[in-house]
Amino acid sequence: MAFQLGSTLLDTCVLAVLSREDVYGYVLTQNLRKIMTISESTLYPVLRRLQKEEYVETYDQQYQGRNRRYYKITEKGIIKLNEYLQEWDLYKFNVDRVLKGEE
Amino acid sequence: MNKEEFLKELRNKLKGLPKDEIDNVSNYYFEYFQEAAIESDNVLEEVGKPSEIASQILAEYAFNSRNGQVEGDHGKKNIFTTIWFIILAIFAAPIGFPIASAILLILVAVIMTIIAGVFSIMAMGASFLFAGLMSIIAGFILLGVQFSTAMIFIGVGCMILGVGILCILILKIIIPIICGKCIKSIKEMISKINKKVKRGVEIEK
Repeated sequence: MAFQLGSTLLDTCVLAVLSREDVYGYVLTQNLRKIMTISESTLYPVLRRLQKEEYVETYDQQYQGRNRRYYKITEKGIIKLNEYLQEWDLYKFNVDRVLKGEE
Repeated sequence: MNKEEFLKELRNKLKGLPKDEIDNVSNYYFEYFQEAAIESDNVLEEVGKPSEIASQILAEYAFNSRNGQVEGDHGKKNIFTTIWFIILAIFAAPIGFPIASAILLILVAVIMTIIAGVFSIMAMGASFLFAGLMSIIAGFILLGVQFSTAMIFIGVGCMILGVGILCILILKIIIPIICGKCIKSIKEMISKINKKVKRGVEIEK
């Protein structure tokens, strides 16, 4: 994998996945496997930070006798996600312009 | 490294954090391993090294607790806790003890220089204040004896006093800014270290 995800883009990806459904840690990691390197794929610090910034909250659910901690996006998180998405569209557009020489 | 070793090392490196935080981390990975039903003895491939993870968590923690403080709140306890976490974060990073110590010492040197600078401005301010006051007092004493000279003393005294007050004010503004910037750059440095090590590991693979 030649390119690295910046931490902001990683945040955005996590929030985006959570905006579609609540997931627990393992599932989230699998979802992001396509774009994250192995060592980037430890999501705990990211999730913890998003939680502290109140973009994400957690709840526990029992499943087959074990505990699963689900992560859920908050209102504040949705707003932040949209901000990030706008910035991403702009960024993507500009990068493509440079890469493909479009005007 | 198997699951138990991983969890053990992780908890170890996170010593110093509040129990809740450590438990949170532990639970996350414990659940993760359960879900993944990892049979192999090599969990490092799945989740990365405990040292990297711990380093990141400690750095985030230090930064965030600093951020939570009100501007101008310099409770000694807060600064020392922050510093302690930064030290833990540097040592938890997978860069080996000699390099970690070197980095730490450099940081200490830089911080000492900054403190020295701040102190000298403080000393300057204090001496100006003192000199100014003395001059004014001397002036007042002379009032009865030689009016014009007294006036000079008082005038100059006020001027010097003013410069002294300026110094103190400048300090009050500068110190919070410097602290903020320092903590930020240290956090960035730690993530850069982590990223570089990750890159190194990637290339080796």
